[in-house]
Amino acid sequence: MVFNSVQFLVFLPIVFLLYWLVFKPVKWQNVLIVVASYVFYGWWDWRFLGLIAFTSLCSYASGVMIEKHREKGKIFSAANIVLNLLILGFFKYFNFFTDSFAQAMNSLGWHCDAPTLNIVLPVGISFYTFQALSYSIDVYRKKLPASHSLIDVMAFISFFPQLVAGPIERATHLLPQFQHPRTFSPAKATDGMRQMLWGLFKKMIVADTCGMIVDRMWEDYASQSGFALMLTSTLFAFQIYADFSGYSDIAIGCARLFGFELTTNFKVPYFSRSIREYWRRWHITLMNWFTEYVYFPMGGSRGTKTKTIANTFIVFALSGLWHGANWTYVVWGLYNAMWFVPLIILNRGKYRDTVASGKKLPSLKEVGLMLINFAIAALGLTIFRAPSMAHFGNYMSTMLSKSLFNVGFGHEMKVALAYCALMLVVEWIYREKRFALDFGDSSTGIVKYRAVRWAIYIMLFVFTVLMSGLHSNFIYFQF
Amino acid sequence: MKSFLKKILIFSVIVMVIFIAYEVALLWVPNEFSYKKRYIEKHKNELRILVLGNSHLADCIDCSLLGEGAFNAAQPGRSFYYDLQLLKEFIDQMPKLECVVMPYSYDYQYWGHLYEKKHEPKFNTYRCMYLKYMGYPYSDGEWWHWSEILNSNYNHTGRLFDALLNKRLSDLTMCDSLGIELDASYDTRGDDWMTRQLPDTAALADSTEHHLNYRDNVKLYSEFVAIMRSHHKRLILLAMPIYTTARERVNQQRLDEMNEFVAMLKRVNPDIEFYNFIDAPGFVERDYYNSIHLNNTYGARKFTPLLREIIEK
Repeated sequence: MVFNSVQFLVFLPIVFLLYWLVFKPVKWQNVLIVVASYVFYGWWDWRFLGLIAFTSLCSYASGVMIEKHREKGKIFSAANIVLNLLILGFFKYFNFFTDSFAQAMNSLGWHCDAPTLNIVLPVGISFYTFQALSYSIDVYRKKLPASHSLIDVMAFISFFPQLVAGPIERATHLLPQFQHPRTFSPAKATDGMRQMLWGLFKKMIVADTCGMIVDRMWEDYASQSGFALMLTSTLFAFQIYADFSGYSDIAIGCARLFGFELTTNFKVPYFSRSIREYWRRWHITLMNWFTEYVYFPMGGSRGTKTKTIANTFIVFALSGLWHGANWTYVVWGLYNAMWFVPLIILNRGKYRDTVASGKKLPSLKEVGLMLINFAIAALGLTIFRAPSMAHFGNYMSTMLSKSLFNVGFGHEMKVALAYCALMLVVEWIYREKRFALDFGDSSTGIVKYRAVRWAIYIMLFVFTVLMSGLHSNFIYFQF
Repeated sequence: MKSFLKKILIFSVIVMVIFIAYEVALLWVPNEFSYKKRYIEKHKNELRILVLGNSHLADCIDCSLLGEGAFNAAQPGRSFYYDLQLLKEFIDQMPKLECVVMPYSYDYQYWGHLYEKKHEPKFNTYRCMYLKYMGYPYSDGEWWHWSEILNSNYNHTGRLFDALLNKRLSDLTMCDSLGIELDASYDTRGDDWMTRQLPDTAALADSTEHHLNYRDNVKLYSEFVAIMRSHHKRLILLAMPIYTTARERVNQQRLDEMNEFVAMLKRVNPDIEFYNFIDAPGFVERDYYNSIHLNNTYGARKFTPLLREIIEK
């Protein structure tokens, strides 16, 4: 089931009402969450429900065993990690590794046929596997007591708002929320609805409109002008941001309806002044996960500069590979590391604050830095979007031809860019808030009037439904 | 909780009212579906020749060249299911009807929006438009199929805005007054017209969807020809000309299947007439809109007189 569907429009109110009005004790609320989550996931493909249940069961068992036999905790934790990674590896990377191995052998002159299997990738497997890993590692590290309720662990791993595309929650943050009673807060629920509305706008209007053009251009990029391809790269940068951050907004807003607080996943990354700041604002929960469970255990930045650089490259390469079984993702990760590492060495570009904090407009220097950073990110995302590195090479050579100066905008391009501009303007205004439309209690200006706020909600919803493009799936479902 | 639910309820009611008003407002904007249905309703006593089927006839039968009482009611992408509904509704109300013209070609036995396209937006769009504007529900008809917001990608916002802001209502239909498609012209066909819509006959038509479509098409066509027979009306089936680029891809197996299918229909109604123009000489580059469609200008002017000859036989 996807968020932007009629089915979800029916599903959500039913679960919401049952949750708050019928299943009042926290234990029963968690049971309802598990059932609802399995229905939500099973709507897409019920065959993989067993996989989630198995992952949950293993994580639960490993947690209990780690706590019971502390001296053997490492073994139980490692066993759970290996098992989960094997499942992930089989479904996601089997063909990739066998193909790459065969290619390498063939290039050395040894004939080798790769065994390929027709494996269906379960939606969201990378997300819930990482969440499951976080649980057993945190229990092993004594950051969290093992849960003795299988239902709580199942609910934590399969919580439907963030099951298929994150945010990837740390067990220390989300699991305790399942263990304590939740009380309904109208303010929190209203906040959630606002955030969902904004997420829907980003997904259904910005991402889908851009996506339609981007897909078409990529299908036939060889016959496009360089300028059109540059615009395509720009639109893809907006598409993937609107798609993924839109999903995160809906997920976070939806969780709020049930009394949960999920971790912020995007903080206006295109308003970053350096790639270092960008990666603190883009897919935050994935980067936090890799930082906590991969970068720090490898020594992080505590060792020599060379080791820090190596660790950074490894983390970026792995985060690229996490996205999928394609070299383009790995190269995309390394490309980002290439821009990231010099800033670490020079100790520049940290920018802990939000750009132009407290001001209405940025300075010229800030605008310049944001544009440069966006160009770097958009180029990286072009690698990410390319079907293969060969395609990327051809795409870039077409883009960087004389036709780069053939300036021209088709009607659809103009519409898509207008939607992107609208999104950027609203997100700029609310860049220091948790999300756009976060009017909160201290509303100032015109939005302090309830009628204006309602008019905005209604217009935005009606506009989103009526103007939405093709109802494509969320990009990050495939990961 | 109460106040929150109240807010949600008020919001939902306002939004629903807007959406319903929007759906109703769309009814006032003319479109091809409503236009063709209304035309038949209005002229049912005068109609002599009725052209049905899909874009292959919608694009290139110019009824002004067929004499009085002819109307092109074909529509791009139409499944034969809806042709049958239309025929059933009107055949008893058209006293002067002499003949119905329908397309039938090399892959029609497998073609349809019934199974093959069921999960495509196109299928939902047609299902909605035929229900809302022609009153023909699809077999599993649900009330929500009526909603263009929920089902159709037939540019409903654009149509409504055009109607409200820019154009005269009469300019909004996609066909001329006698039903030929307006956008299938020589001037707008694009540089890549030769390679557009090339038939893919390389793949064997042996999927489950193909078999289900075949089963349905046998049923639909058989019922269609049986009705024509019981009403003693002529039924003319046409396999339309296709351009060389498309012809190269049509294999003998498909052509044999086409002839077998027609033979099967003739067993139901021996009087049906089938004319195969696939390899007809005389159709040149400028007559085409794309590889498998004649255009509404040169193509129509060349093909419609041929059809007239057939009808006047």
